[in-house]
Amino acid sequence: MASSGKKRKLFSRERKRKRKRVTLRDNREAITSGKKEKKIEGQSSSSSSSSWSDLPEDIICLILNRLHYIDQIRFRAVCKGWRELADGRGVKSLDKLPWMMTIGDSINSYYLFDPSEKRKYTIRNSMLNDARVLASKQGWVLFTEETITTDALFFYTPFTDQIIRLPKLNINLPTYYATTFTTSPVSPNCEIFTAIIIDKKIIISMCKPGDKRWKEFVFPAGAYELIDDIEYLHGIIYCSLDHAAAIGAFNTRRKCWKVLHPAPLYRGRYMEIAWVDLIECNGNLLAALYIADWKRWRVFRLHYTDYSHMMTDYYWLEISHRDWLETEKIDHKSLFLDHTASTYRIFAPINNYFLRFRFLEEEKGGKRKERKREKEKNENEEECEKEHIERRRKMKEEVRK
Amino acid sequence: MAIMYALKSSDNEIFEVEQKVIEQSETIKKMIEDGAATGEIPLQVSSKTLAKVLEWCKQRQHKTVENENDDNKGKRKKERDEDDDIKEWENKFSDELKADKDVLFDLLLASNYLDLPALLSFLCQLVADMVAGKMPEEIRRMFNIENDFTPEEEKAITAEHGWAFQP
Repeated sequence: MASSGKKRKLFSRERKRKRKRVTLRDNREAITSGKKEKKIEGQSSSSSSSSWSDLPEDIICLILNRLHYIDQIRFRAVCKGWRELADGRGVKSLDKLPWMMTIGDSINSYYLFDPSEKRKYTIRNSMLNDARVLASKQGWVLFTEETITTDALFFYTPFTDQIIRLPKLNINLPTYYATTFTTSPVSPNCEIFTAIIIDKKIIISMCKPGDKRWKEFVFPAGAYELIDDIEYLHGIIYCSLDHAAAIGAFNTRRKCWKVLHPAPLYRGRYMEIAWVDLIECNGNLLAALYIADWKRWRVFRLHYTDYSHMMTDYYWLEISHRDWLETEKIDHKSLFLDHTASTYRIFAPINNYFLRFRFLEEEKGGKRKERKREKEKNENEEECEKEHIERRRKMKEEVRK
Repeated sequence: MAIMYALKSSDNEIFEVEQKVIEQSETIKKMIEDGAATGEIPLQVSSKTLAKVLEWCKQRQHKTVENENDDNKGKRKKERDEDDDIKEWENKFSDELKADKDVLFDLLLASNYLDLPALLSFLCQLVADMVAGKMPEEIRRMFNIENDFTPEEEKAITAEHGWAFQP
């Protein structure tokens, strides 16, 4: 890979953003259908030999809606009656903050962090030992199990401990390749993409869960050397090139490639951009740049002039004429950023759980060093977390006003 | 003079109630509107439970009537006092239900059957508060629920969300 040692250092760390949607369907649907079937006949409430396990569905749903995610899981484990219903019905939860999945004190221990209750839950699955995180979305984390010659990718969800395997990557890849996927791997629309620049060529690999092998698309890379991060939005894979010096776009339907101008943002104007995160946020593409010298993030939004073209060919033709705007606020959302991961969050109570991931750095120096660094990061993240909560509170107040 | 209705519980006890109080129940309101409510209105609710239901409805009714009679002067303070009163009343009501879970259960079903959304919501919140932070076994004990999972099923549940059952 044509990159300096420094770049390799910066970009050999993986980072990802994650959203978690536990398999819950639209709540509204459940409520309306629930109302229609008000139980009048046969629901005699006079029998005191009643059993709590026979509570009507409507009532169980109403109770579940008033519980946090963790309590919902336990509630459903009480008896058959309480379990069956909850499966098929849309249920929301009280959780307002994203759950996070992080690496624990030892290399192979992971935990889930519940920010509402400020509790950690340990996750154990032998598949995760020595696996590396590539991406995360809707409660699913894409891992790679590294072997000497190829990378075996698999999805994992810490919430239900499920694993979905993917075919091995065709190419013998160097340490870092950018990865993203479109949606939950249990959805038929899920596609997984990886992008890398090797020998002045951009190689985009693509597959779906259940595929036997990856498909590859190769384009000339020009002068670009690195792909920082990629993100999927409206049928297009956006690729941040050379520390956000440019944004490349791969049209997943037409299988063609284009570099966007004007490029964001800082090349030559500011100091070093240490990290670039592309984030899909409610139909917008955000680029979060971490300026190392300032120890600050700057967030940009790809500005659309005409939303109606979003899914059309016209959109693809016009794609290079859009601007990047620096953004101070994202309406009703907060952006969770740290050096290794980012995600966004809507304030209004919704069904989604978000999931954030922090990664081990892949560097020489042995496990001890890695552990130490991991600890430092923990502390950083805690601070970061406090800041987010504070900011969130402020924004919430603004919303109320 | 307020219109009164006679409600008959499943164990044949008669409750004389003002129309305004009982109209909070969408089910009964509809019966009245449809003209189906002549004479005694038979309900599939025990007298013990119905008494509780009416206790709730009267409290709610009390509150709305008072608000209507208020003029704006001193309303704020009054509202605050009232809120405190209501809270106190609701706490007492909750404590009684927590102590007698059979009544709570019957009341849940009755509020669903009579279509009393405010009461139903209040009770569901009460149950949610009771189960929050508790393990399945504690919840079973609290509500006297039998664990009807087979060992295999239980194992599968624990395997699926093992982390959530860590003490």
